[in-house]
Amino acid sequence: MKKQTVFTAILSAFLMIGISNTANAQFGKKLKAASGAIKLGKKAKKSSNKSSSRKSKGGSSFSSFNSETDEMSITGEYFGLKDSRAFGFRFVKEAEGKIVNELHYWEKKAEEPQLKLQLKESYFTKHQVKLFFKWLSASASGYVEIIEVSPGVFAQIKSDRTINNYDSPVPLDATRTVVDVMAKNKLDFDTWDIETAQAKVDMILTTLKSANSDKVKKKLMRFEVYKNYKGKIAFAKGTNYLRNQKSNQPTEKETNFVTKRELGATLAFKPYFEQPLAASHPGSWFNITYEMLGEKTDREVLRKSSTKFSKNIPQIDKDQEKFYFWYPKVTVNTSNNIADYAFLELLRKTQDNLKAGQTYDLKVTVWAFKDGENIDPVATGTVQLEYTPGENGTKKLLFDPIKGWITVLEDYLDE
Amino acid sequence: MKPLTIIVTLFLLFVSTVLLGQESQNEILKNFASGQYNVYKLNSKKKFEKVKKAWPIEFTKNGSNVSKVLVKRAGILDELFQADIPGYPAYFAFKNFRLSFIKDYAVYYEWNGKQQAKTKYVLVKSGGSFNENFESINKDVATYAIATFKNQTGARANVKEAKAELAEAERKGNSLEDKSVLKIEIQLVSKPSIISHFSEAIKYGVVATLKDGNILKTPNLGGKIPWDDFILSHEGASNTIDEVRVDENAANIPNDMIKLKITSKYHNSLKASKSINTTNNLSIQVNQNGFWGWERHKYMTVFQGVDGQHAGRADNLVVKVKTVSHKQTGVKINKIQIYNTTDDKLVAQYKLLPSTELIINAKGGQGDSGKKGRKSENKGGNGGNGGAGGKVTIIKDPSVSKCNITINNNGGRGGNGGAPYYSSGIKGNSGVSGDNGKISNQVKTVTLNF
Repeated sequence: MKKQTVFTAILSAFLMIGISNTANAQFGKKLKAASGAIKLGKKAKKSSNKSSSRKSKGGSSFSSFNSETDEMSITGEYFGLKDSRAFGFRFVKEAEGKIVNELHYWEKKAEEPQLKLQLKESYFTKHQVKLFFKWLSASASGYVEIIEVSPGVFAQIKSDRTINNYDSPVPLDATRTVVDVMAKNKLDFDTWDIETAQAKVDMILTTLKSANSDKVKKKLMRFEVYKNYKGKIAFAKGTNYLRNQKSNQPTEKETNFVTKRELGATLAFKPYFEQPLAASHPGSWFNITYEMLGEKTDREVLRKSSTKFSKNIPQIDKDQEKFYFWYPKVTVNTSNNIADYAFLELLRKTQDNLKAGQTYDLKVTVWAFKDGENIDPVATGTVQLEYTPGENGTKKLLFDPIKGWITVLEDYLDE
Repeated sequence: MKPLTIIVTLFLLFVSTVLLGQESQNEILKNFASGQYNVYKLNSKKKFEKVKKAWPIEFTKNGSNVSKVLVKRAGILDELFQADIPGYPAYFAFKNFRLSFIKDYAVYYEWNGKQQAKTKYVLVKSGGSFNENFESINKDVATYAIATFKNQTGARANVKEAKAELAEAERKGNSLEDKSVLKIEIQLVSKPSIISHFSEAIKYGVVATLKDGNILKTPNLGGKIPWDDFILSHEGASNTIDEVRVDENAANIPNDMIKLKITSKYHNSLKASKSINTTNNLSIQVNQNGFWGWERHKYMTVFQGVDGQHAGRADNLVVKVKTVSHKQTGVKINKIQIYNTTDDKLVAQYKLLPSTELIINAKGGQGDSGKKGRKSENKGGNGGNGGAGGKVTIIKDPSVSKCNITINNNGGRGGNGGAPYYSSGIKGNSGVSGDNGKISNQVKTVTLNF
């Protein structure tokens, strides 16, 4: 019996602590509830006043904030579209003699705010975009961001990225999803629903991205490779010569590029674009054509011609926001037996005209493709392919009875 | 009666489908006017719900063609949708969104590469209502768009033609075709200090001087002459525009220089050339190593148990060297030929200064490490054996007084033994290292035909 009493007492104590925690965890609940992922409760517990937490559960009034002014015209009482309880925003420019540019968030009355968000200053100074953010943890769910979409109206954003730097918001190419709208005036919700706020956020991001794209291009122009190859395609003996570790830092060496290669041997290529496809041809994706000896093969045309090609020629619908392909492509790769079927089809079509000792120009074009058509070329390049003589030269690579590139394709098509 | 009803219904369905596919947006939009449109948005339950505020829509017309549709989202955000093909639009596009008017409403949707539509909003004329489901709208708009794309052939051809005309006009404006040209010259954009196999590219352009004194240049020199204006016949280097690279095979550089040669396609007598002597002083590394144990499956069928795979032995090589004089500068250079006797294949033919290092690797592959042991066994997998180094025979012509060739033909290391399944077990045996290859030197008359 005694044991049972002690056990019950312990359980009750845990239950009480649990209730107390729940009450304390109201801090940031609006942001949390809206994002559905942000767990601010523990943070709130640390910084909030325990005694005031119970009062705030029913929703405090922050109408006194409306009488304050700040140079950003943000401070005031706000309401959420999804969570309609009141909360307060106060913009703080200076603290302890330092410029801080913070947005303080209260959802219950306390001396200290329950959350301090940081202004991304460059977005404001250059584009008048008021974006505030806070990393509560390193994971994507620990990221809080709000963007002003109209005076007195903010969109709360959820992102898909984990932290890179506590002092920076998620990058511009991250997915930003509006999860709630916050407004001083509830009537604004008639206009600013989630989708409209999302559309406005997308517009703001387009402006920021466009400016960022110019900045990125300026940086890329510091790299000889990009400077010399924009609008062109670089070829190499393997993909390793064309890859690099960091985004927008094309450190590949031009000395490793080739302009002539044995026909049938590994040939990797990488196109560099003047502008990302999303900027130059919105809504398009990439296509590649190969031309040699008067024949031409087109990936998208082949995709639609048969199930076999359709299965083996995937659409290139990545990298639209990049200045070059992140992963180089290959015509053929002998080390892992991977080939572009459109290139193999070109070899199959031209096989009767290929002669040992001869060299052929292969023209590769990367296109902006939309609605079944190649709209504009975005990068082109020509490489010479040499049919090396001898039984173990190109002949073996193309026509080996088991592993030859043309043999393999013909066998597959004949299945 | 029943069969007749079915036939009539099917006929009407067929006719409506055909009609739906035949009409361009210009035809359909004859029944639409600028004004306020009720908006139905797709909610999380995939049902359309009416948005409180109507959205204004404004059409921009050129005659009977609608070129632009301005959607003022919620009355405050301007989204300008533009016709995909002027003259016969199937949709109007704004960023990744499309707007197609079908029946008596507009569908605001996303389109993916699989030719599928994902509706976000439906915009209905003021006073109208909407009560269709998400799937049927997606299907309808996709069917309409695909059918209309097929009917756009003429309009698309017109757009293509107009584009081609513009391109041709620009080409002709910049081309040497029909122009009186005094001379053409090759101008180097950059000339690396080393001109040798695998050296940096030599970048060049073409400058044409017209008889009226005007100067035209190829794009890489800041001009716009199309490269198609020229026939290239470079020697000793790749026959490519913009930049050339020294041929990897010395047999293709018979005169120890590369010669850039171009001829005007439209003026056969106009030719230009530029010769650059090779310097033959870039160190080269040639790899003819055996395969590693982990890649054995690429060369033969393997059974993969817990033991690591054995590596492959390196190929046997014969290296022939002969000293000759550079045909332009007269300095001594070595002709070097590497022949793979295992594969019966010519590997390389180089010309290098006697002091320039040539590294030839014919190392055995490294054995694969043993895998973690099985539960039922007390021992981890054994490591695979390393491959033997290749046998390299160097044959020097009596003319060779100096050559800088380094041969690396060690045997490959055996793979490490794998760990046992339980820590109480024992590690697998390490693989045996491959034997080092032999190097033999001979001096005898060598004939090299390059």
